[in-house]
Amino acid sequence: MAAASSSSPPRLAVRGLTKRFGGLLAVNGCSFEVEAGSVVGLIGPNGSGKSTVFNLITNLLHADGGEVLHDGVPIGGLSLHKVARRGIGRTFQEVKIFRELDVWENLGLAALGRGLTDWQDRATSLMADFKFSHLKHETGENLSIGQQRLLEVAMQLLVQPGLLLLDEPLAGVHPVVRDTIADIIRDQRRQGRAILLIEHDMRFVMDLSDRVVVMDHGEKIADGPPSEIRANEQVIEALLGASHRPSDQQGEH
Amino acid sequence: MTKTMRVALIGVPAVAGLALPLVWSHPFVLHIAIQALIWALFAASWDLLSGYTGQISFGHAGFFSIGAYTAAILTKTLALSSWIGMPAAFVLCGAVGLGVGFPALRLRGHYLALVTLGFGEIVLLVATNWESLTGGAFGMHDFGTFTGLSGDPLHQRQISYAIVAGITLTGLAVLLWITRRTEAGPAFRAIREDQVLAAALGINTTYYKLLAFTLSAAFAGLSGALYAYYIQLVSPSIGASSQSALVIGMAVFGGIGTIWGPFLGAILLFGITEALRFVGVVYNLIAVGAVMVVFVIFVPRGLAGLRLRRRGRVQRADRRAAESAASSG
Repeated sequence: MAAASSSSPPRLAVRGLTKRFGGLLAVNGCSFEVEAGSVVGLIGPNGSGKSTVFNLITNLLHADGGEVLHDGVPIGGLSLHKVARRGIGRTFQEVKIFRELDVWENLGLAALGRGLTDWQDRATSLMADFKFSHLKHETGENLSIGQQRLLEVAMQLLVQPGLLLLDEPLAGVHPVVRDTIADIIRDQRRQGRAILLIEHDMRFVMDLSDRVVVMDHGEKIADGPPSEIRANEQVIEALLGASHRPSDQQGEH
Repeated sequence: MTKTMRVALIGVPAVAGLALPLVWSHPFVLHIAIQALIWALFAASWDLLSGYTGQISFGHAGFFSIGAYTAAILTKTLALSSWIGMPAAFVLCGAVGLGVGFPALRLRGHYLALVTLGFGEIVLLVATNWESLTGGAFGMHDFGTFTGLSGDPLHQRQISYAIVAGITLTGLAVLLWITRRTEAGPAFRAIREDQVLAAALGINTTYYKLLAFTLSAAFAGLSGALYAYYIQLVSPSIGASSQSALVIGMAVFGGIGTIWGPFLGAILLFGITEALRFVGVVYNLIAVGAVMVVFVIFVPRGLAGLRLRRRGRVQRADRRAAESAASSG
């Protein structure tokens, strides 16, 4: 990892990111990196600042301090759509799709956003991969939560962003969809994409991630490979509670 | 239904309807038809911004008014031809629309509606009080009609109808082309549905919102210029908020977000209002109000929605067929 970062800048580097909401310090001096071809899990209790970090990276919110580098270039001053056009894709904690438009139109708008003109074949094969070819002309609001999640992810995969931010992709989805999403993430890592993943399902995160960043009260409290995080007493106390001993976690695998 | 049949089903009544005022060349029929078409372009322009792009304007009569005054002032004080007055109104209103669009970048929903309402009131106040330019509360007259019109009054009215029909239908075609054949159409819809998602996908929402404001205001201004040259009288009341409310009513009646729906809705609603004058000039407005209420409650997607609902039924039937084929296969 160290050798890779010395030769080329990491796909994403977050340095000393800070955000205040009035008196609340939502994110406090948070720093971490995501290399190309790796998955980094971002975990922490509710309100620990994970989604705020996503919003700061994509400039949906503006940071009070620190900086975000994409391939070594600071992107703090860019508008939301320019961040996307650099190749940074994201999904949202509450599924965001165009609910009154159909699946095909949703995919078309994802392509439009990146200026892709020749997207139809790829969209067709993505729909087949995600098993919703039959829903091509179904409006977003008629899809199940799981299908909406998959559509949201498919809209990102269509445009092949170099960095993909996934915010709780499993929330409200069926176990079968969960496996599909896990396969997608592995496949994307193989293709060299950098993935930052927020998820409350610890087993999912630990299985998939190359590294895990743990946040609590807006601060990073740990950063390392899953095995190290699992054994970290501070993390266990802060996040998993007394019932999740390291031995229990090991036993699940 | 084949495409030829569909074209025939829509095209034949449309052509017949357009030709009717020329065949049945009664001055009153022409008078109603011309005004209906002017309202139709006005309603379609509102729909581009508010129905299609979701940026609700409660002050659209302000653009209509600026267009009408631009035409009147250029022709009266500078003696310019209507063929210069109309494009000038189009361009100037586009520029004003762009200016109004900037605060709209930071505002949504009710707040944007309030800003546009305020804009309409400002135009009304300026038109009423800038007497040296606008003629004040009495407005402007004696600036003439479309340049080049001569002959007997009926003939003039027939030519006016041809001019207004030509320009408004071209306007409708341009608006339909923009929304259906260019990237702006899907971008506008994306903004209407979810601005944050649109931007997060890489769509330049700032650019497209300003484009919608500019185009919408320009076409509203053009319809105002047509009004000025046809009626040959502009007064501050054409920019009143009741005019904005009426155009919204027409668009809702026709089916917002479709461009052609509000165009058609305005023609029908204007026709109904005039046709019901025999029941009394207040009762006809009450009747039109009742029609709008019924539509909002029972046909919220307007006339255009009747067609969309049918399409939805067909899609659902297709899906059921596909699903049963898949499960049996």
